[in-house]
Amino acid sequence: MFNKNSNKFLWIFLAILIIAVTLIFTSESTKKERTFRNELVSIDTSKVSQISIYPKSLKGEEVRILKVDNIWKVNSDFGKQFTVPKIKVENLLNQLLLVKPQRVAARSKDKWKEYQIDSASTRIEIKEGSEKVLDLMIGKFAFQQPRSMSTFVKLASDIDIYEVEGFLDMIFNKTSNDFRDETIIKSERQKWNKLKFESANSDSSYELVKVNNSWFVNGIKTDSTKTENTLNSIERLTNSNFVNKEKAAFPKLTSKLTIEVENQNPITIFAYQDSINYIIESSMNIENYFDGKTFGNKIFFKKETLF
Amino acid sequence: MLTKRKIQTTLFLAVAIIILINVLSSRYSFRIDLTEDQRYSLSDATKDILKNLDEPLTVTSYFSEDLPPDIEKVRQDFKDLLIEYSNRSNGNVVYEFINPNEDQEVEMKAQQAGISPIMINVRDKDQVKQQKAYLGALLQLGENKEPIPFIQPGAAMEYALSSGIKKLSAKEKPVVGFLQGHGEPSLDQLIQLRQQLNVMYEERTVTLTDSTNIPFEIKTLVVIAPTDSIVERDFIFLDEFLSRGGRLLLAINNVKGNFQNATGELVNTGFSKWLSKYGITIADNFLVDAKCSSVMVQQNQGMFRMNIPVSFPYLPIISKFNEHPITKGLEAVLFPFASSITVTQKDTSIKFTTLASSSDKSSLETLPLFFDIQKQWGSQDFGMSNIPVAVAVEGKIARNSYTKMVVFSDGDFAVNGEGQQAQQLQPDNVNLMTNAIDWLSDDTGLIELRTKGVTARPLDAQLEDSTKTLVKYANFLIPIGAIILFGFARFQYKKKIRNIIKSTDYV
Repeated sequence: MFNKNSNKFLWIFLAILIIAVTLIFTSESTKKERTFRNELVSIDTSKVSQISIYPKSLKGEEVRILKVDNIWKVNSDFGKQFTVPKIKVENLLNQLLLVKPQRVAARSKDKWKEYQIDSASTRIEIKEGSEKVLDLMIGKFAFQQPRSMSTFVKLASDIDIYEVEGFLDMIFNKTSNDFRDETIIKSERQKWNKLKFESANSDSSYELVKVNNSWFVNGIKTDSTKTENTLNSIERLTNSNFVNKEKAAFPKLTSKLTIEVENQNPITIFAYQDSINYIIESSMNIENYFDGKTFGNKIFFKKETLF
Repeated sequence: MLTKRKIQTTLFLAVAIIILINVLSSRYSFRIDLTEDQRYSLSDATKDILKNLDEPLTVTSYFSEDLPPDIEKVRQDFKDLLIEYSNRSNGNVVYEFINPNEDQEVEMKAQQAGISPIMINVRDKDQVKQQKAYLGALLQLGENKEPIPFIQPGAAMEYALSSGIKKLSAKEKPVVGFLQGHGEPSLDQLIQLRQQLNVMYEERTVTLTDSTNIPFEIKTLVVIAPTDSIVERDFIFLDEFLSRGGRLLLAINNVKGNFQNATGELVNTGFSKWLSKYGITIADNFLVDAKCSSVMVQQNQGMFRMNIPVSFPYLPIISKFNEHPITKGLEAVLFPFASSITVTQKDTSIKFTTLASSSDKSSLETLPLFFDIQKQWGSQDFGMSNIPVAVAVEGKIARNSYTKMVVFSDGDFAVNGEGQQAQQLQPDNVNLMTNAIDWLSDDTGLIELRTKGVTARPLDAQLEDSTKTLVKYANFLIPIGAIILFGFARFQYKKKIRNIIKSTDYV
């Protein structure tokens, strides 16, 4: 057993075994628990600098969201850029990170049309600096088990179509308006001390003042429930009916509301009104103007509603 | 000269080699499939199904982890099978494994997908506890899904997977009609048969009236166990159906056993007369076979009344099958109260094939008949052999259209029944009927796969008890004896060599 050649032979045999085990384990690592893509989206959200969406509703027109000096801006169809609230971009990117393939739905170009992965799709491109890190096409959706939906997607550089969870069209098929800041009033009502209503018609001007947690108009105490309800309805107010006009083209200023907030800058709401227009401007969102036809009177409520 | 260092090196190398071989053997094992039906190799049916797969199929396998080794093996076997499927389908079969026990949301998703949990016993720290485990898969192709709620080990795994794929990839399912209106069992009484047919066919009932013929979309019509007389109009419809190329399966009870008064009775449906014009005659007799099932009979044993199984030759177990796609892989089918079939060849262009026949010890009994349960059957009662009970016919049977027909002289072999009378059928009973429908419908894809699997191969009932005992012991003693013999021979050989070396004249 222990002759001269036995160790030589054993060394050779051991070497062959080591090579075999290494090769086998290397190939085994590729045969894991899954034989199709585990992920479609691999982005570092902190490095993303540009999001381009080509929503199917705009038939290929680009909605570009750019990071400029750490602030997200979206282009608009009339050439102006608007700030995008950070939370909207974060939500968008987080939704993208959730896009995980559940299955391979098709593997040929012939099927692209069937799954609406063509000109009818919504396309998303993500850039980190100048590098394009994602180019995703979103096709048709399908109803799954009770209360759930799925969407068919494809990477632009790939042929395979994957089914992923969720109704992605609702998240990504959006216009630039959907990314603009919709805030009109966003404040804590408990910190409000005074609401000063000024109107071109001096009869409508009044002040609602808080004294010892009770509200008064011209020294008369208001109905506490009615006042609470009215203030509740405007403490968080958003709207997406933007008015895309320059301020110079606005009608004359007709009303102004100043909300004095404890330890904070006052909130000022302006109303510009004529027989056709009712435009609202807020000091909390100076970039955007809103069409106030449906909610203007809610902000500029009459003092009679408080009694 | 041997040094201590050299011995240590040798021992180290030996241990390292043993460890590496162990590591390799845990991953790979070599095996040769020596089984008669190649049950551990992919069948041609599976290969065909995968070859024709033109869209990707995703298999989401919901398998629990950290299970006892015997159950864990099912997971590995299924994975190996999927790798094989993936390779055979040019990558069109893709898969993933998910552990539903990891996350409640995933578990809910598995259940919504139709995967049923099972409870298994797990030994942990000298305690046996019950654990919920998942061993299922969801197949998805295009926009269709097919769950496999529970994956069974062995050949059943391949059948479950391949039939699931076949079901999903079938573009348009052919329609199989079931004739109703003459006392035939309803579709609800054919549970097991429908489960198998559902893979490939759409089932529909057919009721004939003066104004309703057999619909044109029905390619195969199945007539199972009618009890009422068939009106002449319906036979004309059947003639027309055959003459337009329709395929017909007849499972006819020409006689039946009445256990209430222990007599055999004639079932006059008119089919016997109608079939004779196509050269097939189902006789008005009862097949009796030494190879048979039993009935439970109450007997007094001292103070007790006990149910004793008594062999009942009127319930023949058919195990003689001729080579034919319909009978491929079948082992035994129970044909209760069957009759003999005879064939008269009128036209040589028509091909008659006897599919199944009785054993070498069988006979026929004619009416009137009284069942004597206590009768001691002897070899003198089984003087006949190979009595046909199923035939297949193909050719221009009716007018000039090519068609096919299968006739069974028993109508009950694939009927589960309903209510409290419902019974579980042996797999081959259902397989025979499904295979026949497949053959008639020109789709023999799953036949090979359906009958592939581990089936019981009991010793021939006719063998003497002593022979049975001999075969039983020889089965496990011969391999052990062979190993002992080899060891003994090797020992003797080595001893002889040692003696030669020790001998004084050895140089």
